[in-house]
Amino acid sequence: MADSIDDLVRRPSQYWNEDGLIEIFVGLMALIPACLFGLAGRLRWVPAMLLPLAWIAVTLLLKEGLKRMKERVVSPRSGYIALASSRRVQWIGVAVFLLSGAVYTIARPFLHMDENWGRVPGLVVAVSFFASFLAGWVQARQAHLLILACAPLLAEIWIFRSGLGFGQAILWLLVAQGAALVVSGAVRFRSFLRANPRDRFSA
Amino acid sequence: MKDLDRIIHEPGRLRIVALLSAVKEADFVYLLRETELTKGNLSSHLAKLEETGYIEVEKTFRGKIPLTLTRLTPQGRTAFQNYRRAMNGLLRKDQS
Repeated sequence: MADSIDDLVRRPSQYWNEDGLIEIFVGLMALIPACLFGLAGRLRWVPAMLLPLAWIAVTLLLKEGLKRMKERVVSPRSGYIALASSRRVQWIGVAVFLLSGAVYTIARPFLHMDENWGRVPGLVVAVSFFASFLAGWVQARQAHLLILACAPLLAEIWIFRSGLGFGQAILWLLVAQGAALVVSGAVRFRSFLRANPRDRFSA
Repeated sequence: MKDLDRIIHEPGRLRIVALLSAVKEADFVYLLRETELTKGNLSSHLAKLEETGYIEVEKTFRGKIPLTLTRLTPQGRTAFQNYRRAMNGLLRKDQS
């Protein structure tokens, strides 16, 4: 149980993340578009506009799936909360979405760069993934965040040795990070279900 | 010390109000789990907070399962912020 008022105030957002569903959601958000983009790269006839639309559709479907899982599986076991969504958080979400679109637009011409130059941006992306999970671990001290931090680095070693270009490197990094998140989330979700049986709080 | 809100100052109610301050709404099961109070204790604290106008309690159903939703009122939010400010002030005074 939380000890200080600050801990108590922070507790709902920790609770929101502790069942592992958010990790699965974020993992699928990386994994599915990466697979779609990879597939579209092989099937040359896919129109470019279809990919962002597919991404938006996947995001909306996953969001709805997450909401239903929280309502039907998590809430009956350990309680329901609706986090207060501040305007600031909504704006951050919009900004991240626009920024990723802008980054994709800027990076598109470089997707087919030759192998030597193509290695550098992949390395940068891998290090930034690693750094974000490491920062998460420093704050929360949860061991699975360290494992998640290692996934892009291991993938990058393989990518670097295979000499893949920028586009392929990004796709494989997203696949590695997404898969690691899905597996880690699934393991945490399983232990959450075991620790919180359905009838725990009934009379 | 006399600036402190007696309703919120009680440890059980403080836990409830602090948890509710970070959410739009929460159900009875969540509060039961997080506060580690008994059902009876939690119910009586919720009744007291509702009586004071600090929280709203809504009894509804999800499918066939009864659901008790609780949320902090604007008055409750202000009272909690004032309580935190008063408490921080006291702690600062104690340290200096």
